[in-house]
Amino acid sequence: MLEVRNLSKSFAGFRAVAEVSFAVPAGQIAAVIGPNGAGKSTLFNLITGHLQPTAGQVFIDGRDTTGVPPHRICGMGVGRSFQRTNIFPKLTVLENVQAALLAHQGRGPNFWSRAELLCRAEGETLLASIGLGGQAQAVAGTLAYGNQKQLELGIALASDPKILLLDEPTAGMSAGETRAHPAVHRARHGGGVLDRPADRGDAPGPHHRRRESCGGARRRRGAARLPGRAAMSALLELDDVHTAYGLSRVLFGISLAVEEGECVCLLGRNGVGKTTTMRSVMGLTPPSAGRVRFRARDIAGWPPYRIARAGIGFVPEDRRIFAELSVWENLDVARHASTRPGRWTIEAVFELFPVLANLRDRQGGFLSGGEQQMLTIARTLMGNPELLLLDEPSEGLAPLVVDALLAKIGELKAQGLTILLAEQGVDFSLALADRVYVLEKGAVRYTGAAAALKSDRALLDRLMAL
Amino acid sequence: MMPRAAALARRIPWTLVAFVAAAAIPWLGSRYETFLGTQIAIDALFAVSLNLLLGTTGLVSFGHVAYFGIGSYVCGILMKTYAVPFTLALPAAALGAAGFALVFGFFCVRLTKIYFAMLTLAFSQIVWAICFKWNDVTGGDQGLPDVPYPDLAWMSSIPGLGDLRTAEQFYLVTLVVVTVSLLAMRRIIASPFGRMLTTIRENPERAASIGLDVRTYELAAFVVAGGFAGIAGALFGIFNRGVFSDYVYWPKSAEVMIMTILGGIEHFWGPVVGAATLVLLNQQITSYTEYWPLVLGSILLVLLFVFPGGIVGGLVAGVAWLGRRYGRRARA
Amino acid sequence: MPASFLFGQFLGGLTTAMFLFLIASGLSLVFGVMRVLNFAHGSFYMVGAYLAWQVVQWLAPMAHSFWLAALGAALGVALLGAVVERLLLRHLYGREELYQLLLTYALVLILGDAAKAIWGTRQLSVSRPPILDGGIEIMGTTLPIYNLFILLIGPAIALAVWLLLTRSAAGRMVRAAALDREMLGALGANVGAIYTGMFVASSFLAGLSGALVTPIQSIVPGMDVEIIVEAFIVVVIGGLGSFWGTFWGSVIYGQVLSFGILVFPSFSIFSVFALMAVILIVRPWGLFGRPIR
Repeated sequence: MLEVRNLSKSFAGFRAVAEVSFAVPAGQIAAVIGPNGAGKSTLFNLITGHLQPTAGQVFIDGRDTTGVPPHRICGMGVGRSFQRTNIFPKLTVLENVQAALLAHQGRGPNFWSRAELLCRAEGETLLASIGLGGQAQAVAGTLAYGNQKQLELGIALASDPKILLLDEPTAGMSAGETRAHPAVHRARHGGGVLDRPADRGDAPGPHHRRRESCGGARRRRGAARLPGRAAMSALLELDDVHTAYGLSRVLFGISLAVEEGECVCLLGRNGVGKTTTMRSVMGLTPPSAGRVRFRARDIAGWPPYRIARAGIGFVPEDRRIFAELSVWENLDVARHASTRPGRWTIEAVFELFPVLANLRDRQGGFLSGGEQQMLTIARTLMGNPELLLLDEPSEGLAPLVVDALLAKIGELKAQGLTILLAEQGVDFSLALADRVYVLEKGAVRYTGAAAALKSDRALLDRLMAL
Repeated sequence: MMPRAAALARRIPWTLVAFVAAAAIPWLGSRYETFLGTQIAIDALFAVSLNLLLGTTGLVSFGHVAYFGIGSYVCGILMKTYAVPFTLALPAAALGAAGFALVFGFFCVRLTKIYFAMLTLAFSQIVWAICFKWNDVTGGDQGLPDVPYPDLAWMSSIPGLGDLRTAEQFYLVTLVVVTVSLLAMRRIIASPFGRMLTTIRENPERAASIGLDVRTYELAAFVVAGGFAGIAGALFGIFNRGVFSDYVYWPKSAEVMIMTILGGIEHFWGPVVGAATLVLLNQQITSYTEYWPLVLGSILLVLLFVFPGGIVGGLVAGVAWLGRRYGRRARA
Repeated sequence: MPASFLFGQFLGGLTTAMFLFLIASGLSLVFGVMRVLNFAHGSFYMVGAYLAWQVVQWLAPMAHSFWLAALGAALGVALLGAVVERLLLRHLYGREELYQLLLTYALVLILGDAAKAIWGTRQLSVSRPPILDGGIEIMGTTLPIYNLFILLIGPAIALAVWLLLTRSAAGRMVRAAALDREMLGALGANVGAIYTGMFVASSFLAGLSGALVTPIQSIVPGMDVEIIVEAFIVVVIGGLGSFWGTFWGSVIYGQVLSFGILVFPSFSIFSVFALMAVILIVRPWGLFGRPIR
């Protein structure tokens, strides 16, 4: 049904997908598994025609579809849901699904009938089957995260696909929801399903019932007090923070605190809101409600540069180095951007990362993943922050590089830098963190000492399956 | 109290009421009002056709006046030079404009955002340059004065219409043509085709993934919008008693865009309100001062900062706010 | 056609090119960093010309009045740019690009009429500064010394701006802002101030070129619209956001204009837009821009 031969895709400077081959016969469910940055998204984009491969071929139902544009591939019976919810935000839920149904039935060129009347019954049936029956009239962009993901699936299903590609469909969902996920049910009803969970636990199949029994260790939103410490001394405090991207709400009342000198880790799957939490602190995506306090000053609503100059440094998930500037120029820009005094100069940074010193005149875009990660950390250090927000530093890096990175960050921590770390990789985080917050669907579900988790593997498994 | 009033308001066929009121102008008002009415009707059609691109599909075109101009010239040339009756010249104008939209649009939809806008502008200026220079056909910079009125003798046989002046009779013809065109466009926007355009505006990537050939749909929207702009242009050529290249120059594209945004791009009738407002304001202001561009620019500034949703957008928001306030009072 | 005539056309094309470059470079840089296509850039040029004339009137008998007027005009327009950016444009950054464009168009309308109100509609001109009066003979054609001055100052300014962009800390910040303004803000840079600075600098250049053109061209209403259209074409040819693209785009366009008129008399109005259309269809990112497909 779906076959891929020697598929490769290179972007300027690096290979995202290299000679991938596999086949999925009809009626089967296949899972593409790998850590972040392994190339799963790119692979899916190549199959659905959003990207042109540099080499290799894609066959759908026996036909060579390499390079065919996305709308035609959909017409061949391929449906796709996206990892980031990709819906029509200003239309209602029912209208979203109706549009997909109308498109699938080829009724687009109909200039005369009233669209709101067509495919109404089908749309409502489809919504009921995925659990959104009661929300048909809600504006899609205002839905809760989980419902948006369901709608996402609904739109893909509306095209009645023979092959369904699900891109991290259960990202951010609990075990219970995962089992109830319509895709798992539909997968049994014929057609092939290509699924890409980020870890094995998600692959559709029998699950043991897992109960959330974290008892007293579980924190509800609101109080972020830690036992035995006055909240006043916290370097960073978040109090019931809600954040949205336009109409899409992502954070639903996050409360946490980071003490000076600590390393706190935000754990959780893709899409739960770790990056959004950091962006909310940094002012890049200001919170719509709640408070953010740094050294007891309310910084919510401050422009990012002011927050940076106040002493918070942000290292983004996708690194975002200035690709056309050299390593030295990247650092120099950061030096002039934030004129906070401190020990970090270009020489000091080169001492911490000797690899960078050798690359000082190399253009940022030509560095490897690991080198870019070092550069972006070094660049943020140039602002002499007191609190470092590190977003998924180990993402997409080879294990050896990750170990080296771990050592460097450990050095920074030893020197007294307060760190808030967001990570999917449990081992990396537990090696560094003093305390941990586990996030799920935009809220804190558990908080506790990292040591406790390190020793209690069962608790850890339970939490990560939340 | 309020909910009942709202329910009552929804049942009144506002379109019909507006049409009847507009049709009564030749009797209720003076020649001047009829003149304004014709101008407003034509500009309303032009603005709504632009909104098919701007509001419905999310395409920002700076060159929409090209199709308006092509419509004027086609109709004017056919009627004046070749004595073709209006009933044939009008559809010919629409088809001519739509044809050019097809050719130009084919290239434009391959680009996005600022590049799309600049190419629409370039094509529009090419049309202007041809109209300005092609003396034999378009009259060059002299244009085509004295475009004849259509044969309206048949109107005298309808009771009550015989006493009207030609200009007033033509106003009624314009009103009917514009109303029919607007209703057709409203239907198109509410159709599956229109819904597909809306999805393209909201999320072009997702639209492609549900099976829409985005470029073809955008091109179709471009052609439909161009055709209706052509109708508006044809009517204008007659109303203006002549077709001149000035009316194809790019500031006219900016003016119709301002009308559309002034009225509100999120509502179908927004551009109609915007057209009426701008025409009336223009007439008022130019009687006091020659600095109409200054006033227009200032209006645009106020619009951008204070009323981004336009007049209709502001009214709708205001009514919603009132509804919430009174709803709360009623419940309290 | 005698060689001297052709050479004269060539020099004429270069002179036009240098003026266009001075104006278009500001337009292109602002677009590259701020993603705003400033329609009102041509209006700033016009205001620069009018201001230069006005200052010359005030300073009339004084020596060096031309140079003071040019400087005064450039500074005046820079101030105007600062006011526009801080009071108006800055509030629209989060909104869609269409609204920013419409704002600049509103300014075109307002400034155009304001100039008409203040200085009337008759043609004005400024005489050349005495030092640069007269002409020299090159290859059989007479080149006015003033034009030679322009031919030298154009590349000089280009070089200066390029050095600033590549060698100075501020220039690096500007380049970083064009690449990723959000990240730059997160590193502590006040990107808003960078924007204001860029806008003021580009307004200064526009005002300066307006002032410098006054001895060669008369000052009339409508010069704002005429120049902005030409500037658009130049940046399309060269590539939006590319500095050297604007330079070479101006040079090419200047020559196309100069020699095109000989071949095809009604060249300018039709072919100019046809050229723009062709480039947008075939290679929208111009000569040096970043490929967008």
